Amino acid sequence: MIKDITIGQYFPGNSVIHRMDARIKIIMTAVFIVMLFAANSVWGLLVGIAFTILTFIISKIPGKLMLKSLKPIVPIIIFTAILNLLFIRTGKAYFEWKFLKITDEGVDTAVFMMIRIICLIVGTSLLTYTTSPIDLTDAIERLLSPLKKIKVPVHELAMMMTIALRFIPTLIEETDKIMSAQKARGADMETGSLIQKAKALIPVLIPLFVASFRHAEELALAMECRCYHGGEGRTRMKQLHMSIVDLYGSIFCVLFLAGVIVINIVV
Amino acid sequence: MAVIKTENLTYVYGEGTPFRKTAVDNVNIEINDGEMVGIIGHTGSGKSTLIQHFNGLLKPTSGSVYIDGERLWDDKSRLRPIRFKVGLVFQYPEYQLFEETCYKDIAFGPKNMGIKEDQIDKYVKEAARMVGLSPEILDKSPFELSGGQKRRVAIAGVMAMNPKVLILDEPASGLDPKGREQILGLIREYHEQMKNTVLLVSHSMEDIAKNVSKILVMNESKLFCYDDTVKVFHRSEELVSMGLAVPQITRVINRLKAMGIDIKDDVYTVGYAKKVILEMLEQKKNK
Amino acid sequence: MSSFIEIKDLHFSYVNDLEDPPVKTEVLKGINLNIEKGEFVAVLGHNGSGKSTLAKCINAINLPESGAVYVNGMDTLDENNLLPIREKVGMVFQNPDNQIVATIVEEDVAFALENMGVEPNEIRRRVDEALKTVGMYEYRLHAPHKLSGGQKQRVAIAGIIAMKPDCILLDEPTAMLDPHGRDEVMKTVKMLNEQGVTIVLITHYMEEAAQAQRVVVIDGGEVIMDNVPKKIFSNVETMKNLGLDVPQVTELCWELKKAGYDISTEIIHEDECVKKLYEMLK
Repeated sequence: MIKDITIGQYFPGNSVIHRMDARIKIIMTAVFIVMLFAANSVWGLLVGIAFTILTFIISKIPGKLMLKSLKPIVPIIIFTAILNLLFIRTGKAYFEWKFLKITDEGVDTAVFMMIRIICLIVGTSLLTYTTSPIDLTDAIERLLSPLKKIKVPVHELAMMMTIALRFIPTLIEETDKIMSAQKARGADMETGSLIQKAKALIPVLIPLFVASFRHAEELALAMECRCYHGGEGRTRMKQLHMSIVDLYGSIFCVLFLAGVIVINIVV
Repeated sequence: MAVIKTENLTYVYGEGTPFRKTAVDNVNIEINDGEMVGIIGHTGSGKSTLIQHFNGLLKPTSGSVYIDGERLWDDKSRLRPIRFKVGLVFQYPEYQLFEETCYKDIAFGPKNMGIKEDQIDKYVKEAARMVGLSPEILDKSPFELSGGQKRRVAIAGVMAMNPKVLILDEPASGLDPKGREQILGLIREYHEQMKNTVLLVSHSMEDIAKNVSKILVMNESKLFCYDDTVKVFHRSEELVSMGLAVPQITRVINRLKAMGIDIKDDVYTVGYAKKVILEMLEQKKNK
Repeated sequence: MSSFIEIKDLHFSYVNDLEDPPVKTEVLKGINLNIEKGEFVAVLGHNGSGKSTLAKCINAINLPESGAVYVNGMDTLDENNLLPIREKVGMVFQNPDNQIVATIVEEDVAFALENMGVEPNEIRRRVDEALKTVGMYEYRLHAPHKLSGGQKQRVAIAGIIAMKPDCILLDEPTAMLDPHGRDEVMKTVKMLNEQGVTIVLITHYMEEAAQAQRVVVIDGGEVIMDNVPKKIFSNVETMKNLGLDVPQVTELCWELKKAGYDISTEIIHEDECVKKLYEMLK
């Protein structure tokens, strides 16, 4: 149950995509999103799909894992599809009953949206699957560093992300422990109405809250003892390196985007 | 009569995954009513998994657990009533406190059991007395107390449920020597007064040796032995080879024996060691 | 020449601002203590005696209310000394989970060096060296939350020794560990001391304190005993009255002496006890 939660899951590997610079991967993901939404014809979308499938194969991420990441968004996909079906009323009608009207344009858009969302999820999960959380936060920090000039606390935000990632497993473990302890004191968390269940969570949430404060306080102290004084003058052990792989990757990605744009103009 | 009994109890973690691990392997024990038992074993030996079966927090992969003659998991609706017979105090129990006052927190368990208000009041006050909390502390917030006091409140919270069996996982960990002695002392007193079964899980053989009459040793998911304290310490060399830290005094006596001194090999407390050595010295003098 | 750590008439109080008027609790009441470079000092005292507060005064986390603390001649009250002092004096805490910052072992060990602005290649070198010293090199790419308590604590120590400090303060580093983990940490601490690092170890385990060169006993915010371990532990009754303990072998010798036998109460190690008893019993 609680241990199945997968946040920012990293799947270690040694594929070309794994070896790419995290900054390039983030930019590529952004380009990829633009590509998906720029494609307004079947051919354009096919290019997008081809790109998704190709990168997926290159990454060597098991298909099962990808299906798992798609599972939670199935309701969203269905919901958007239905919305599109019902609310697009232009075009030739396939079916009409009272206020319901399903048109060919509606069906087209629904299918388009579904494919876009699936590609979007697969493509963006590839980013988290192939990039370690540390590299990811590091890359975000560096990509956003120009914002420091307008006083955005980029380093602090990245630090917060790192610490959050570090403490998620600890807090999950703690939640399990507190739940067992309260169950041993007769707390009933499984039965009853929704409100009763929510109430039954109080004995778990309060200790968890207190524990988080304790962690925060002690961690801050430990960080201070290790000379932490904000981002100023900080160096990093691991330097991000652009390599030839990143160059090829970028070209590959830009070519696909160009393809989509050309198709848009031609078709 | 056996208050806790297990038959071929086996528990497997992560069945069907690469992380599959048998945490408890075919354990058969019978713990009699009114016993004070120490449970030892190194980290990962399965002792924590074992005790979580005793009040139905974990369901055996195979085999059975009987509490007070009744088999757990036969009828799921009986699980809660049976669970109330076995009170479980986890390690660092003070981290589970959540109520506004200590009184309310201690009353949480009895309330969940559906006990009547006036009865709860009696149980809470009795438990508080048992752990040595003064009445004025009961109205305070548990978060205002010192670490040692918080732990007493948490232990009282389980004692107030009046369980037939009280299980404590490392109740003295993280405390200073005096704090350790006090907590273990009150558990011993509780056992003497209530005459119910107490299981004490600990890494510290010194603490176990001083307080219990029987010891259950877990090693690599299996039951190594369950016997009288004296008899278990008789096998102290085996315990050492298992990676368990026997009391310093036991190590000293074992080494003397290895050097050819004819000395008893079941010594596990300073008091007992003193008695044994004094007797030997007297004999030597009289010769 | 002045000592490496000099504590002069140190007073320190915690102030609770939430109460009105604020409640002031004096924790340290005039501590005088000098620690030389390379020493291994154990600090004993029951919970609330002020020993952790004292440790935090040494690396300028707590600042003196009156009196002074000097580390290598640097006054902790001078803000410019803050980072140099923390580089010289590292600190390891009780709960290993709450002092590990990063999601990968080697990243965590690098944390202090990154804060100090050390050049990347040098960080790499020192991180590897520190991990090898504590015997955790093969775990450098592991996630810290999957390690055992003793291993986590060794990673925390590696994170400190990577700074190349002259002194390490350890605040009950073994309190949450099992006997095996305790052993791992104590071996590491002793090895570091042999390499010349000054060690200040706060502990509740008397057998650990017996391994130090010097024991300081704190009670009620004051230093009440400061001597070599065997002199400290031979005061069995005083120690017990302070809510502390003595190693079991010392207690046994003390009992035998009370019964009229000729045995020293300055025996604090297993080996000496075995030797003495063998002589008496053979």
